[in-house]
Amino acid sequence: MEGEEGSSNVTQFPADSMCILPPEIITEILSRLPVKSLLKFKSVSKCWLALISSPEFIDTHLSLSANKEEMLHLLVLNDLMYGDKWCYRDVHVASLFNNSVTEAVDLGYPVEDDSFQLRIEGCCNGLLLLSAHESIKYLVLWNPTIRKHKNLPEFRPRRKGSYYRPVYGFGYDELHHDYKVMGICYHYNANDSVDDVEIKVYSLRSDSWISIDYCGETNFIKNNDGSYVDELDSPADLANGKLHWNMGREKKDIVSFDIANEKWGKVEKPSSYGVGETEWFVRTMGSDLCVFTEYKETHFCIWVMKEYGVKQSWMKKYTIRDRYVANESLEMLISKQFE
Amino acid sequence: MVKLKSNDDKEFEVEEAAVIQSEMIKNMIEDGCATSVIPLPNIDSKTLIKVIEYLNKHINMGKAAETGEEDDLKEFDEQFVNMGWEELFDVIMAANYLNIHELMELCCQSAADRLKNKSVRAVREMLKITNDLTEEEEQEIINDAPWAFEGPEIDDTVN
Repeated sequence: MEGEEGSSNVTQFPADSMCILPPEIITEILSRLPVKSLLKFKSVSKCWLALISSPEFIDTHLSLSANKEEMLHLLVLNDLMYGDKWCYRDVHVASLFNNSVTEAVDLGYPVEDDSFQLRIEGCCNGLLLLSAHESIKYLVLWNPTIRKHKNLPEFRPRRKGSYYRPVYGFGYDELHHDYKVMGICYHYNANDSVDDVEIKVYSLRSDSWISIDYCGETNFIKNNDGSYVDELDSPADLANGKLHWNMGREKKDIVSFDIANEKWGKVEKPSSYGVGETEWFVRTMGSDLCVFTEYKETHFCIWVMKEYGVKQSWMKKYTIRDRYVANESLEMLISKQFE
Repeated sequence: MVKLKSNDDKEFEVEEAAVIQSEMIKNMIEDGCATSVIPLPNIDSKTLIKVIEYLNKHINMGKAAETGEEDDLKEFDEQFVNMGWEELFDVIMAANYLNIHELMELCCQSAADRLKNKSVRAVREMLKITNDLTEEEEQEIINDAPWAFEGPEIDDTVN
């Protein structure tokens, strides 16, 4: 790392003079530990603290743990209706399969002011983007694994009073090694139709919002009176380095936004669904783009795009009785540490 | 057959198909440097016997998937890492030196599983690490994530 002058220890991790294993092997072993153990073992020695805090180690740890099924977690939001405070609880998915009764671990709540319900807007590498539906003020990046959060600066729409809260998308830009949040704010006129769309991208590296151009984009089709025909559904999910939204009303193609080069695109949906099946929403599972459909209000189905961008590769993968299983407040995420 | 010699001058014969799981020896054989005995100055005979046991068992890894012997192999691996700390470290060092990827993976995971719930004090003792952090620095790390230092699983024993 640059800017660490005077402490060459930081990148080289020399062996503790007494330690019985060389540093490269210590690294191999520690990169296989869960985050809780790593936070604890930061206090073993200066050398371990430097190792565990280094960006190289964090990258190695993430790439090792992202591929492990046992690292899947289910986050459940404890509602004010059932307790005295808002609280996220963590369920280890692997233990659901192995144990008949599983403890949910209390993760707390990332903001002190718990009068707001923070909903999950997006999830990437174990980081969550949360926003309060009642207020534009609360937009929070949260790492539940290390229980640290960061309040993002306000979106600050250009016109006051004419908007509802923005629609958000969240993802990791692998090209620039940056986490990015995209916000789309619709401005409404007196007739309650959208007459202005404002889009900004937040970069964690620069810790600021930058307006981006959407002009000339067919994704935002205008009516004759200048109002916009369609809106994008929230939330947006990341697949193939792009965020994806369903078009609000007409539900034509899936709209994509490449978070690295900030370009818009489209992905075609399955040409037809089964008889009696109606489209519900668009999400990603793992790295695959999916369309959820409803069937007679008793089942839901999941269509998966096996090969990104290839229309013929859509296939109906799951049919599940009881549509309420797919409650959107439940999120799968992969444990990751983030500094 | 390939002949290996440990640092206490004991020789072992291993089938080539088994021994080429070691990237290092595979490269030596490909480069024609393995015509006589291969000396392994970093590995003692006790550790080398363990490594050879692993190599021989894993020789037919590809076949195991076909014949449904995967469970058998899994059981072998579980038994295999059931050894003392010092012994495990010796095998890790040997696997690292010989560059046997799967063995390295297996043993490092086992070491991580054993360390996972240990207390900081226990880890220092097990790995013979001197604590060079000041009391303030240590307290700062604890204050940063106090929940990581709590829990019924935390184990202060050193074996």
